[in-house]
Amino acid sequence: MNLLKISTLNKQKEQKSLKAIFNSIDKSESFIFNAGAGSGKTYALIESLKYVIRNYERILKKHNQKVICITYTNVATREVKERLGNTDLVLVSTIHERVWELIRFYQKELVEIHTEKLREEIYSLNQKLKFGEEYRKYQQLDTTQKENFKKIMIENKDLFYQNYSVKAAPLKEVFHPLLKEYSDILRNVSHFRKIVSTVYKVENYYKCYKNIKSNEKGYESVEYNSIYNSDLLHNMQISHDTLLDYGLKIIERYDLLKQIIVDKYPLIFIDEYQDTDQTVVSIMSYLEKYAKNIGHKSLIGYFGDTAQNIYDKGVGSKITEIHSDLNYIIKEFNRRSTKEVIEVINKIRNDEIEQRSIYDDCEGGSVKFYEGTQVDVREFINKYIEEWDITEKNQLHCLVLTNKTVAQYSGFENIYEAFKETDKYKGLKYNQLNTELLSNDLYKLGEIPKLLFNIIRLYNNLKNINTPVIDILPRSNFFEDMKLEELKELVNTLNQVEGKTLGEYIVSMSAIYNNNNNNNKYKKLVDWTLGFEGITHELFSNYLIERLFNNKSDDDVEHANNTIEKLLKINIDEYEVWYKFISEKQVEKVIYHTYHGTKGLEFDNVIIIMENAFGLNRNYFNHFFENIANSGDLEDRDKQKFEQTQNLLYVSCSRAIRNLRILYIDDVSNFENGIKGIFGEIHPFEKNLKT
Amino acid sequence: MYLKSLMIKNFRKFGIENNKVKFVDAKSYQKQQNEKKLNIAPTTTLIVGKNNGGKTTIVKALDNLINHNKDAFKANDFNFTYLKKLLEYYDEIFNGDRSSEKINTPYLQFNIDIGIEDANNDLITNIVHFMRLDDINNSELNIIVNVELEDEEVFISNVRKLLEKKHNQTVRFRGFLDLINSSSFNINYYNRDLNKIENFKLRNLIELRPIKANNIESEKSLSKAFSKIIEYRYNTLLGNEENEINSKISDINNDLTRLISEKHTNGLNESLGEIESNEKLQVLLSADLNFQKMMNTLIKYEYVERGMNIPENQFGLGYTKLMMIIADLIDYMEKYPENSFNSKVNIISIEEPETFMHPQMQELFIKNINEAIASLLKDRNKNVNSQLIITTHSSHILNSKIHSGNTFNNINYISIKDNHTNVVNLQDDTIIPKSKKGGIERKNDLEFLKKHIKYKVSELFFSDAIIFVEGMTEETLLKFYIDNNEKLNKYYISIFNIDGAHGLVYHDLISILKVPALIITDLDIKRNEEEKKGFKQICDLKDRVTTNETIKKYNGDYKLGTLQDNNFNINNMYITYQDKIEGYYATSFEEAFILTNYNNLILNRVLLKIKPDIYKNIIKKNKRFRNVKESSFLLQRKLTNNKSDFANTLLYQLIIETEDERFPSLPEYIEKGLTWLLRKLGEEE
Repeated sequence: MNLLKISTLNKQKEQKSLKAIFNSIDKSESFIFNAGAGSGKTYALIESLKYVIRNYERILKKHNQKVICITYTNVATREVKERLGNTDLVLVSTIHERVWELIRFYQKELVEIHTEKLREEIYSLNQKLKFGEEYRKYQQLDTTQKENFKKIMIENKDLFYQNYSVKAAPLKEVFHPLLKEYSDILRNVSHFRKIVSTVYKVENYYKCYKNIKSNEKGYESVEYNSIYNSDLLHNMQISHDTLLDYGLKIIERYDLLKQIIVDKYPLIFIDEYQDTDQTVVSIMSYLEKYAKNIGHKSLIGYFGDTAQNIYDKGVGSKITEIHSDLNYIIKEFNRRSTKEVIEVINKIRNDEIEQRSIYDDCEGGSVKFYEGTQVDVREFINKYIEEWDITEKNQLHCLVLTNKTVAQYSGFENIYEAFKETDKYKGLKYNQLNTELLSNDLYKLGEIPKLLFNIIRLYNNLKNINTPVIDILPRSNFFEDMKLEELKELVNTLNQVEGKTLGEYIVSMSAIYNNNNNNNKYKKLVDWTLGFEGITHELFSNYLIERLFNNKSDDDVEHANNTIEKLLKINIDEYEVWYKFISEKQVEKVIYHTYHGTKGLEFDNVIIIMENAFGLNRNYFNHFFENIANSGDLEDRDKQKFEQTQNLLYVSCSRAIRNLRILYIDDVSNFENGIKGIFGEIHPFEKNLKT
Repeated sequence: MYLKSLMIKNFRKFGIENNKVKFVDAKSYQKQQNEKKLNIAPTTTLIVGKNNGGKTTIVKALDNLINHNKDAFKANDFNFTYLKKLLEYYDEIFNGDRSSEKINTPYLQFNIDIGIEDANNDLITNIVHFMRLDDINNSELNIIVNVELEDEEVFISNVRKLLEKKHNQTVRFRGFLDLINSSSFNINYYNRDLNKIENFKLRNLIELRPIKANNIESEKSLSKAFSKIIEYRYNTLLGNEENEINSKISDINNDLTRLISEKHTNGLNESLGEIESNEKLQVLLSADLNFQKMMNTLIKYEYVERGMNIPENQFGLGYTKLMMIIADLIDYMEKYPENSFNSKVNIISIEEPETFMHPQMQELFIKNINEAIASLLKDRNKNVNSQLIITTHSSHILNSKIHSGNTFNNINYISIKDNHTNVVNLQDDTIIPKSKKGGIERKNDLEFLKKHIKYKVSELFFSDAIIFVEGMTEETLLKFYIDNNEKLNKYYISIFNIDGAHGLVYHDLISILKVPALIITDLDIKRNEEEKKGFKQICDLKDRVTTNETIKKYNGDYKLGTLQDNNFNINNMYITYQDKIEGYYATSFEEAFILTNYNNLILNRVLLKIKPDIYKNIIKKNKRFRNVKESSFLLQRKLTNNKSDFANTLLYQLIIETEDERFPSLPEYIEKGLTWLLRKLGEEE
């Protein structure tokens, strides 16, 4: 075994970079701790927290102050909590949870911000109605006509949604009698749907606005719930992104709130800052600057690595523009990988951080670059399953570029393919599918993927007898005053829901739902799982159509219906595979990931399948290898693209602890030198040839 | 819902194994709830054991968790062996090579199993956070309660500072204890999967009413106890009349206040006015009588004994105690509304009720309580939804529990093993294992054990060791020899005289209780009629069989030729039987004794006295003791009907014997057994 021995000298050196952090803490100066992949960033974070506890416990307790620690995912939260041990001084959570905790009690102010948001939304929707191309027919009506039209459509809302996914002719048939005077507006059905949807939205927002103004019950507070990712502004419910926006606004606006936060939480540590939303960094910057102004102590500590910024939304290297005057601390040790891997990743990042292993016994890994073709992939993986004695315990992790490949190899290709055909995720929005369908971070799942996730989670939870009861509906007041017999009945009812395909499952779920028994608890649970009330299977598929498709020409309608039909016909077992993939519960020999999906993880054995293209971009990795030599000369977009690729390559290669293999499945002859500069020799992969 | 078991880790004498206390099982609990007839015996959990074993600790643990806050736990509540090990571990971590990011810290753990009855209307509000889907059908759930440091890092850095001071062991350990005492602990709750459950308090789920051993605080205790009962009966039986009484009391208060104020208040204030002006200071006197006060003071309890009225303070302490326990129980049950839903587990614990009670009263304790409660609650449809826990060291109460409940179930036997509390859960199923025997035979064994144990309870549960013998000669002689053994006579060793086949019934129980047990049995060599007539001496076991069930059980069959040693040692049991003595195999104790001591004068004298003709015949004219040896089987046969005579005469001779005469020795197989026993007892300490 290697990677165990740390010499005293290295221990002391490592201590030095920790000392730099401790120094900043003592002086109450905000800092940014930049350290490469596998450098023990989390270790540094934990040690910093422990340092604070050791040295500032008494004073923090005396003033009833706490330390905030923000992690990137729930998994990371749990890890930090476990490694830190029990303490009341540190609050560890993800950013959304923390921001919500900080602002949720200022409902008066939040509602005010919400009102503004509604006004803005109403304004921009009205602008569309007034000037939008697709709203022409509406614009042609005079004021009275507009009012009448609105009135008729609002009265027939149910009818409209019932016919949301029918073809043009039947739709016209339904609405013609109602809209005799305005039949012109029905000419283009797609535009008609858009107009009406917008009218409804304005109506909803306006109603909500009025209700807030007249202090109606239910409109005195804004709600955020981490399990849905959707803005239902008219229901006073906000999404993850809106939450951060509101957070920024309220903190920007109210000095008193800034002071409360700063005084209550004089230290805030943020892990993986590079992928944190810019909004968050702005909030932190505001807080710290304010504290300085009023002469109070405040420290923000960022832990991360600019070179590992792989999400567009993440602040990345822009952090210093938004939050200035940060102490810059770096660490050059690597605590993860063998020397062989470290050498390669250093060459990839090629900046001021040049890592070396902290271990004396750091040799014994291997990195090899192979050239092959698409058809070799299976063979290549099989070769290493054998060579590295891969089992469910000693897993092989295979990084592939596209969702399609991950989906295909992992066994949920149909789901992926169906989503790819939806308006929401096709064309330019294709990249979004990466995150919104396959992210291990539940906060990043898209609205419909999250909805399906919730359903499959329920399905999976019910199948597993070890599921905590509270997990089938994680809201404690649901179980209040429930009797044991009722719980038994509820679970029995839930277990009656069945189906081979998702569609059948939904039909069964709806049938029991509408079976008019006294199964209120069941109904509540289903409503909560779905995020909307009164499920029928028609409503469900219309809901999917509405959220996943935009335009409604006849062809579109048919296509939409077909796609949804496809989604519903997929075996529920396949959804379960997808669910397990998302929640990282797979038990397989080979686990497939996208490059993005491996953030913060480490594996003994890694295979990376690489090619020129990534997403819609035909020349991605080749562009990188071609430009390594002259990367300094690149400008603007090219430079940005180069860095993006560099970061992604860095993140994926640095996952490996011992063994790393890359199989490039396009011709590499044009950029051989670029590759050799990093990975050394290029081996041709020949089948049947066992090494 | 009911408390099914409690596992205690690192708390006081409890270690990390044999630390699970089990409470009434669902069956008896449910039966109790369904039956209208009240019998608390089956729903009572008994915790029984010697002093200083940890009985009280169990209730104390629950009491601390439920009725007190986190500060109830102090350094003294940690198991010291555990703390010592922990300190050694810190030494290793801080001074040695071993490094670890996550460093262990002291904690106490209480693992609580809650059982759920079928068809139950209890509210799940308090337990849902701990339930898995599986638990709904298994009717059981698990709550893990950890008493752990509020801030681990602060503690660790303080330990580091302590160790740096290089004190000697004692000072260091004391410092460690001080450190624990000055650290704050939190009580945290976890589910089976060790996920932390927030916003839960055990007191929301379990209610515990401890009735302490010394509840007789004053001479008025009994009055108070009776008041409670009267008050309860008054409320229950009179109903509307309560208002009437209350209004009368309030009338009396008014009248008295008026009277007092006329006659005294004004006068008093005048006198006061001399000292301080009345605007500043005045007194107001008023009568303050209420129902309870009236009961406590206005009603006089007297005990009528043979026509004489005897005041309370002369009332027997035993009765006082019993009445007070009953009063407490009634008072507790009264707090529970009728026919409402339950969301709690209700526990009443009675600590050592035997204090002040004479043996017969102890014997009837559970029956008495049963009857008293039944008669008091008779007119109400009260749902007695409580579990009763009794801690005791009275063998009579243990007997009472076994016989009123007609089962060994729900008895926890507490003893000390290797410095730690050792909990044994008695169950009919483990005492007479189901697998081993057929239904009827098993039932009979169980019945036998229950009946037989009645006279042996205190020996079984409270001795330091037990010796099983198969005849009265051994019983009589062993008592004498043990009394004279300066090492063994320090222990409380019981001798059970029970025939081998019956003794076997005890073996499972003995092995569960872990009491060191020496089982002295006999080879019981089978001889054919001819051999019997010829009094054949046996010097070879080959092809011989035994009639002894104990040997058969442990040797596998009746064949003696396959015997390896002259003993079987199975954990706390040591089974011994005759080895070859002076060239012969003895079939019984008497024969072995004769063989061992064939040339001992005392023995020869006794033989001569009991069987003069036979003895003379054997010894003949040459008076060679060797002849006794050669006729050992003949002698044993002839003594068959005079065993008691033989034993008593021998004992008599031993007692009156002057010191210069050599005592007969015990046969070697028994000596070996006693040596084993002494070693075993030494280990226990």
